[in-house]
Amino acid sequence: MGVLDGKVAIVTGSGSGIGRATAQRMAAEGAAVVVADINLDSAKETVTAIESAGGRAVAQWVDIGEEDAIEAMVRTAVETFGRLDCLHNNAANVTVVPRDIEVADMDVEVWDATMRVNLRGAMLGCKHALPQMVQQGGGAIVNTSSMAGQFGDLNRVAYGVSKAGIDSLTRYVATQYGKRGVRCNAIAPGVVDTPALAANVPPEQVAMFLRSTVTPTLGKPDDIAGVVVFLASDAARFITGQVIDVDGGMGMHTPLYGELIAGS
Amino acid sequence: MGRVDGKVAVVTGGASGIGRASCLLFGREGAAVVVADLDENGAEVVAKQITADGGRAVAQRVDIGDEASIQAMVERAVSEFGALHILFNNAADTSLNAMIQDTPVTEMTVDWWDHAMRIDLRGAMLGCKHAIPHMIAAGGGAIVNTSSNQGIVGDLTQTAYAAAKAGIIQLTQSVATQYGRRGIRCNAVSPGAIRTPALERACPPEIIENIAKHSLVPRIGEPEDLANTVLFLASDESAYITGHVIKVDGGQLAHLPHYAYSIDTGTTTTYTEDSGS
Repeated sequence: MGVLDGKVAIVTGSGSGIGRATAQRMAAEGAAVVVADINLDSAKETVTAIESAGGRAVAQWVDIGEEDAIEAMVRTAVETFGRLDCLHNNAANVTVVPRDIEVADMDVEVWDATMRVNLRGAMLGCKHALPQMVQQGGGAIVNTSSMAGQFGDLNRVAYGVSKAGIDSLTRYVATQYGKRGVRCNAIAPGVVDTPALAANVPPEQVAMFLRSTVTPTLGKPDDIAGVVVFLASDAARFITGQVIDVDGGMGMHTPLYGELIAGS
Repeated sequence: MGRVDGKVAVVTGGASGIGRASCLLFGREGAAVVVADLDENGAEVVAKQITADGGRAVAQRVDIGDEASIQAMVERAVSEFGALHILFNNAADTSLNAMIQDTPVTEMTVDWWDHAMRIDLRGAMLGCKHAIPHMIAAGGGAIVNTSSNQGIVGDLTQTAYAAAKAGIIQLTQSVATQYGRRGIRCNAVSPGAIRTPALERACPPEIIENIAKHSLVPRIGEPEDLANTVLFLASDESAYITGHVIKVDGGQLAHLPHYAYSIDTGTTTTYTEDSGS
């Protein structure tokens, strides 16, 4: 028996990384999963992994910058599996992040591309999933936020602002649709140890991230997936409108913590 | 015209640091000040400075661990100046002994824990308890409590102090809720690293410099930075602000923890949580 038995879930950005781990974990807990990604081949790989583990999934191309594509994604869930219980708005625009630096140099295109995908994409996911969920009597939405939405950094200003917007969107959806049985929560991951982290971030910086984290290790994609499954499941039926930090404590200690433990 | 003309203010821990700077500013802005401190001589020096500058002030010894002493402090304000409008619950045990005794949890003695709660948390509650009836009688008032960034985020030591300071935040909201309709506002300030005698006792200069690296304003705070905020919260300019905590920390809790590292190494984060596999 899985905690998501009989449920149908959509996970955007599940062709790789945290999204893939979450789609796999949801399937392992009994959900039929629409694996949605802008890279259809990677989505198919996730589906193959789910199916070979005995789960049910279908791959779906989606560009969450496009409303039509989001609508089609929701339609696929209902047409393929008959309903929609969980939407995990997880995809974000990572391609513009290297150009997302400081405010005084902000390229409007970078700003708009970030907001269009990260924030509007999540809103549109809710917009098209909600009628189906309401019609069924309820559902659960989990949005991927970030610690960058709660604290400032020297770059990634558009990314951080879009994620703060996600936190607000989460509370609004929770407020507007709570009485109609839909819960909406967000997760705010800290630093997660993915192959992409090792490939793109110098080891000294990874070591520094680890010093800023109070757990012995950085997070794994499955650490995030477990929280998403919980929030999507009926075990969380009294939790709504919340942003859950899944950050190994990165956001809760004094900024001097890393130096203090390095010196001890 | 001063910003707190005609008001009567009590400031605990008024002999040094943040309390002293607040007493001097209240005095300059027209309030009559009860400079209350465990260090009676220190309080006397501050009161004399206020009167020398043309203001009105008296010194009052107070032990905020002792309810009778707090009651006497409040009575002094009323007997000396006729009313009480402003209470700044600022005193805490920031002695060097506190730095040593306030350990990580596994070493925590019940005696120290109880001491910290009695001084750092119960003292503020008792200040409110005895001041509020006089404020209601005066038609309203403003209470400002000193919380701390240590009551908001975790640290490796100062466990009891931090728990007490988190309690201050909730106390602030309770008082604001319970007495708001009777004209009393209650807010808190949350200082970051402020150059006070307490900080200088606890930290050598190189540590203080290091702390400053985590500030977005490129220095550590001065007691006057707090005093300005306390004056604002005590004055009618903040008439619609209550139950609120204002961080006065140079932005120390506004950024991700790797900020100082990024500045030191000239690196920035191009990493996002979902960079794919």
